[in-house]
Amino acid sequence: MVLVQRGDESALEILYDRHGGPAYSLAYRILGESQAAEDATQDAFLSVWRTSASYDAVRGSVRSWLLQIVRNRSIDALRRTAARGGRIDLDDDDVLAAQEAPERTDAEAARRERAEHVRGALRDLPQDQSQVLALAYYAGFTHSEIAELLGTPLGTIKGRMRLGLQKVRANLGEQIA
Amino acid sequence: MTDHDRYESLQAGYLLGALDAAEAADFERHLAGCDACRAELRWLTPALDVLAGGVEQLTPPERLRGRILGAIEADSPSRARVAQQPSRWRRLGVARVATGAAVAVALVAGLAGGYALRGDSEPATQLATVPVEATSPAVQTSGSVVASDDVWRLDLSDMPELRTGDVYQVWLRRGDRVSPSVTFVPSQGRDAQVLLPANVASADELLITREPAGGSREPTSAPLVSATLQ
Repeated sequence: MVLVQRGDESALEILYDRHGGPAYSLAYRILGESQAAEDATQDAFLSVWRTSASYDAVRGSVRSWLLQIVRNRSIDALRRTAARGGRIDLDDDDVLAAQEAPERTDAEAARRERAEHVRGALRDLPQDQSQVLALAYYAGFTHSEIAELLGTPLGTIKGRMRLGLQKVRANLGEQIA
Repeated sequence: MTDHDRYESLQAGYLLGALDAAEAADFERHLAGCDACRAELRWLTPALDVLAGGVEQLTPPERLRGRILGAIEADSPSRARVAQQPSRWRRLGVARVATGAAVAVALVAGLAGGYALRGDSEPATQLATVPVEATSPAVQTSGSVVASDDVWRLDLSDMPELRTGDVYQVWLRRGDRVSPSVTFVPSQGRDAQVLLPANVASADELLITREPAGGSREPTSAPLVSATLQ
């Protein structure tokens, strides 16, 4: 990342090789369409390139920073088009099958396996909590909008959101331990 | 419900970007003076990585890499690469030391085998090492290309002196085609450690030349060292 901050294009190339897949996958999950996902991923990498000086390693990994930018860019795109078409289910097995001939390298297979592991952790949440997290994170709804969408009191939505995120975090701690 | 309880109920929504602008601004004012909320946000933040990484993992279209790198290059006019030059590479040929082929290691085969043995929870493992070879007796450089997990690294010692402003550039040969890769300058004396892009895995050979600052589209000098990868 230091090299990216110094303006070394080849370092950005390495960053893409390491994190381009997860970045594109997240954008696709939010936008549900390949061209829009490519645009959002490109915007995010360009943003990383231009604002790399603002990256602070103390606040998290490069991957976390990049994926947060991808998420924000994707939600911005979603709101711009007012598509509200982001997938909100957590079982998108059809998406993978629809992709251009994937090259399943070993590293890629390991990445997919890890992702499947964390998806399992999300599936372990009560459905009402995972639904609220998905509507907020992948579809960009505010908690007020989610309350209206589901016909559920705002206080209940806030509670589900908090409990769900705490459980995801707690599960992560157990996996690390 | 106390005032703090009210803000506590907004913590997850704040991290998830689910507060409207006025709520978020109000929460941030509270956050500035609340150690407990800041601590809770620090603890919760890794959960976002789970949401971000827990999606179905797809292979980006091949064109996306080129699109992004093209956009970066277009965004960096001050670092424009050296203009296209007649290919000295073809005239010079790739002067590979004969023994290079004899000591070549099947790097990609080694990677595949090594990876199969590695569990996710294990620390980074060195999977394969390929020695670099000097292309002339006047060059004393030694070193290796090291594959470790999904990180590829070039370790070099005793690189020849660089003229001020020049850089070393890595080239990757696939069949008859040679493509430019990273540039570097040894950071400690004449030794260097260089991270390589993942596409090195598909190269037949890695070569290093001296180039003008910023690197070149085609080699402008003869290779100093090479490593036979496949």
